[in-house]
Amino acid sequence: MTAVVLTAMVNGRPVSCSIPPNLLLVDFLRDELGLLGTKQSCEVQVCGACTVLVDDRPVSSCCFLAADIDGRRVQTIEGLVDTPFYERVAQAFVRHAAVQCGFCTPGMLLTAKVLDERGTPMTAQQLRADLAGNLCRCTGYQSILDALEDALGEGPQS
Amino acid sequence: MKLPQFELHRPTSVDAAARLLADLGDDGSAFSGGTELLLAMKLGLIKSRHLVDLKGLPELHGIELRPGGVWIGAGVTHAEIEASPAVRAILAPLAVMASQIANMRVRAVGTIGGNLCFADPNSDPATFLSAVGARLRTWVRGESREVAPEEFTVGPYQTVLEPGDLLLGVWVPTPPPSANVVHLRMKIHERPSVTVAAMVEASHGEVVAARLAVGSVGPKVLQVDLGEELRGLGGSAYSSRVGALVALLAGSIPLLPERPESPEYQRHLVRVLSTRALEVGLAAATSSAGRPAQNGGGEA
Ligand SMILES: Cc1cc2nc3c(=O)[nH]c(=O)nc-3n(C[C@H](O)[C@H](O)[C@H](O)COP(=O)(O)OP(=O)(O)OC[C@H]3O[C@@H](n4cnc5c(N)ncnc54)[C@H](O)[C@@H]3O)c2cc1C
Repeated sequence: MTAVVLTAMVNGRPVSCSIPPNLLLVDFLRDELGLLGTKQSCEVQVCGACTVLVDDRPVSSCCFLAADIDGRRVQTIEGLVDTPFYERVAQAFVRHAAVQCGFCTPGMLLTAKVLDERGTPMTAQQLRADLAGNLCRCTGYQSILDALEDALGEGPQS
Repeated sequence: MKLPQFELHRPTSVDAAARLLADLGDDGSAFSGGTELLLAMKLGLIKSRHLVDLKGLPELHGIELRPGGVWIGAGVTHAEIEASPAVRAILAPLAVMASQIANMRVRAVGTIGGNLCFADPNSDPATFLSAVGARLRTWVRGESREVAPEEFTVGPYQTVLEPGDLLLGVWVPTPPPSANVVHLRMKIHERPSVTVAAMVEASHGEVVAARLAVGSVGPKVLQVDLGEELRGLGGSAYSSRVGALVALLAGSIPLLPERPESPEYQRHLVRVLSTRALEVGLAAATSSAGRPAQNGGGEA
C-alpha cells in the first residue's frame, strides 16, 4: 500500500505527514493527533457524533479518508473552544441543560457552527430539519433545540 | 471499523481515469464522495484493491445554465444542487429534493453521480430525474453517450456501466412553462420508503402531458407516461381517472422482497403519494401557467 503524503491545517495548526490511504479521518484525528473530542459511534454516517468541518463543510469523519483533507482546513471541537461562537452556544447548552452524557455534543456544536455561518437567524422548524442527522440518546432533543434556538434563533442573543 | 487496504489513484482527466479503471477491471472502483463506497468497503461488501478518485476531474464539476436546461456534473454534491441559483431558476423542486436527501454531512460530500451510479433502489434523484425527462451523459469506452435515468439503472446496485465507463453528468431540460413538477416522499428509516415524482403540463385546466415516476419500492424506478390516458382531462374527470390509474399501478408495481415495510403498506404509500403528486401537479400547473415550474415538494 503506497503511503499518501498529507499537508493540512487542523484547528489552525499545520500538519504534515505520510499516512496509509485507507486511514479514516476519525482515526487520524483521534489516534495520530490525539484529538479525542471527535467521537465515534454508529460508523455509518447516521448519528453525527464524528462530525468535523473540512473547509467549513460538515463531514462524517468515520466515512471520510484522511487523505482527502490534503490541502484543506479541518476544524474539530478542540478548535472551536475559546471562540465567541463556542461561548455563546455552550452557555445556551448549560442554561437549557442540553448536555447529559455529552457524547453527541461535539457533533451538535460543529453542526450548529455550520448553521451559524449561514448568517441568517434559524427558525425552530429549520433547526429541527437541519439537526435531524445528529442523534442524542439522553436528552430527548427538546433541550438541545431550545438551546440552539436561543443561541442561533431570531430572539435576543445572549 | 477500519477500511481494508487499497491503493489510491488520483487521475486529473476523464480519459486517464477511464483508462485506469478499464485496466483495473473488477479490482478497481471509481471513488467520488465515498459516502456509499467507503461504507460498503468498511462493511466488507465491496473489496476493491484500487480506488480511482474522480474528485480531481474538472469535467465532472460545475452546474451550468445552458439554452434549454441545466447541466449538472456527476461530481456535484447534493448540497451544491440545493444551493444552486441556476437550478432554482429553472426547476426549484430539484433543489428542494436535494435538500431532503440524507443529512447535512452526506449532502455536503455525496454527489449526484455517486447516487446514480451506486443504483440503490432508494434513490430520490433517480426518481425525480426520470419524471422530468433528464438525460444522463456517460463515457463508454472512450465515447460520450446519452441515456435516460430509468435505462441507466438495470436493477438494484447495477447500472449499464462497465469497468472503465463513467457518468459525466446530468442534463435537466427546463420544463415547459405550463408544466409543474411535484416530488413527494415518505421516510421512516434513513432512506425513503417511497419516493414519487410527477410532471404535469396543462392548458386551461386540462392536461397536455403527464409523467409519473415511482422509486424505492421496486428494483428500479418505474416511469409511466400518462399523457395518452389523461390528455384533455381536468377537474373531477381528471381526479377519477387518476384514481383508477394509480390504483392499477399501486396494485401491480413490482416490489423488492425483504423490505422493512409490508407489501400492503408499500402499495398503499404508492397509491397515496402518486395520487397526491398528480393532483397537486395539475392544480399548480393550472394556477401557475406561464411561470416556470416552481412548486416544491416535500416530506409526506
Ligand atoms: C445515511 C445516508 C442516508 C442517505 N439517504 C438518502 C436519501 O434519503 N435519498 C437518496 O436518494 N439517497 C440517500 N443516500 C445516498 C446518497 O445520496 C449517496 O450516498 C451519495 O449521493 C453517493 O455519492 P458519493 O459521491 O459519495 O458516491 P461514492 O460512494 O463515491 O460512489 C458510489 C458508487 O458510484 C460509483 N461512482 C461514483 N461516481 C461515479 C461516476 N462519475 N462514474 C461512474 N461511477 C461512479 C462508485 O464507484 C461507487 O460504486 C443516503 C446515504 C447515506 C449514507
